[in-house]
Amino acid sequence: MRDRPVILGALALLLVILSAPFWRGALAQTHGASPVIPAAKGAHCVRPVAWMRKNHMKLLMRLRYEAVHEGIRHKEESLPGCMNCHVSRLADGKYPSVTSRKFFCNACHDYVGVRIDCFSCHSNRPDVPYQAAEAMSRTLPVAREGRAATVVTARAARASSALSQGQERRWSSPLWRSQ
Amino acid sequence: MRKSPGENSTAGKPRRGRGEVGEGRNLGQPAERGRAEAGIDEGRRWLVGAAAVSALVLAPGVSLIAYAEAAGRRAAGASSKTRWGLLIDTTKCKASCSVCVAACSSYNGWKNEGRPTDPQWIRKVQVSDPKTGFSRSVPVMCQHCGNAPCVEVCPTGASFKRADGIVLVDRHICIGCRFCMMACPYKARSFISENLTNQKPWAPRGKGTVEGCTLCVPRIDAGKIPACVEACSREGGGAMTFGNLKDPQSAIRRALAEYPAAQLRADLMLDPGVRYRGL
Repeated sequence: MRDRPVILGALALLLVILSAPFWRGALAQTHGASPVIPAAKGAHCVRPVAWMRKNHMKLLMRLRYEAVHEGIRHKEESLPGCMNCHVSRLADGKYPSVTSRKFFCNACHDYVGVRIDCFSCHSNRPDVPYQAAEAMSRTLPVAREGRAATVVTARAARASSALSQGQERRWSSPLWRSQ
Repeated sequence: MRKSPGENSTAGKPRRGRGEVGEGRNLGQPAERGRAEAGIDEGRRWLVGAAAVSALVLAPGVSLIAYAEAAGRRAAGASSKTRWGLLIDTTKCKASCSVCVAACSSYNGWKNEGRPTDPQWIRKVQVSDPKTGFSRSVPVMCQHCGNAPCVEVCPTGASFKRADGIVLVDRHICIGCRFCMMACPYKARSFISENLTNQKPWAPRGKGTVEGCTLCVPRIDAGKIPACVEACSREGGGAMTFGNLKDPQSAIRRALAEYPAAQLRADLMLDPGVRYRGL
């Protein structure tokens, strides 16, 4: 029984050692080691923030398929749309580098050790000049021809019925089919 | 494709369901709530119920207001009622002019500095008949074939044809094997072998993938004409006509009905979407 203080002391020490990662994290939070997420410009995200934190990759996958294969493009719901809202110039007037933690996607991805290669092809900047150029360029009257409302509604109904059954869209590309 | 306001109302209603379902499935979690409630005694159950009801009533209401606007702007997408095509009047195309190439290059953000591996989405080609001396300068780009050999040979499905006839590379699934470059008789595709930076936001392109003329697909989806056609009509000879080959009333179909127009390598029977008048 004389060993009791020694045993209790050793147990306490063990507890401290085991919980070190927790304390380190808790202390580090006050020192800025947790992700510092750059503020977005818009009033709200295209989906609730909590949903986006968990599911943004699924949304991006669907939007990418719709844009590339089906030609369904959205201004806000798109990777350039994300960049428009989430990427701003830094204090020095430059846009953050893709590898920097000041870049919106990297703030969390770097923290959790997820590596993405989106930006080896995609632009990581807002497309403000494009919007200005598009506004000036000529519109095409024939582009609106031959797009009956029935086609639009059938496509939309198909998409919404597939989703209401709680399924993610099955992609029609052979690569996706094999999974 | 940007829609007219009339189409908006028809497409908006069914599409709006997507946001609601997504939120309900991932945020409301009715199944989990049910499991949690099972262990709570009757006396306090009303509290949980009230919280659940208020969450169900308030949360989707707030998000509905916020997201309804975005959901209403769903675009229609590519339709098989359209087949986009180009008619190039070679009698109006001067050998000295290359504004179409410059416009494509600046819009899509590629640069050809004369190296053999440099991209060439569109290029000016001098065609001549050595026996007669007849010579013409023509722009050659992806011919957006009806029976595209690049689509046939692609092992991953990255090379594909959209419903409206535009042949594209889905560079998310392109493995850079370059079979399509071998298969294309028009040499319309090129391979990116170096790291790129500062791509245009509307024209992503990167190392290890094959690329080619997209007929300026983001512009077409926004209801605009390709950059080369616009530049040709504004600064060039007005030699290019863009339009829907399936619409008998379109300018391109009326011109094709009136004058003979050649297909490049018609012997291959690829049904190209690009036709050349005066060859």
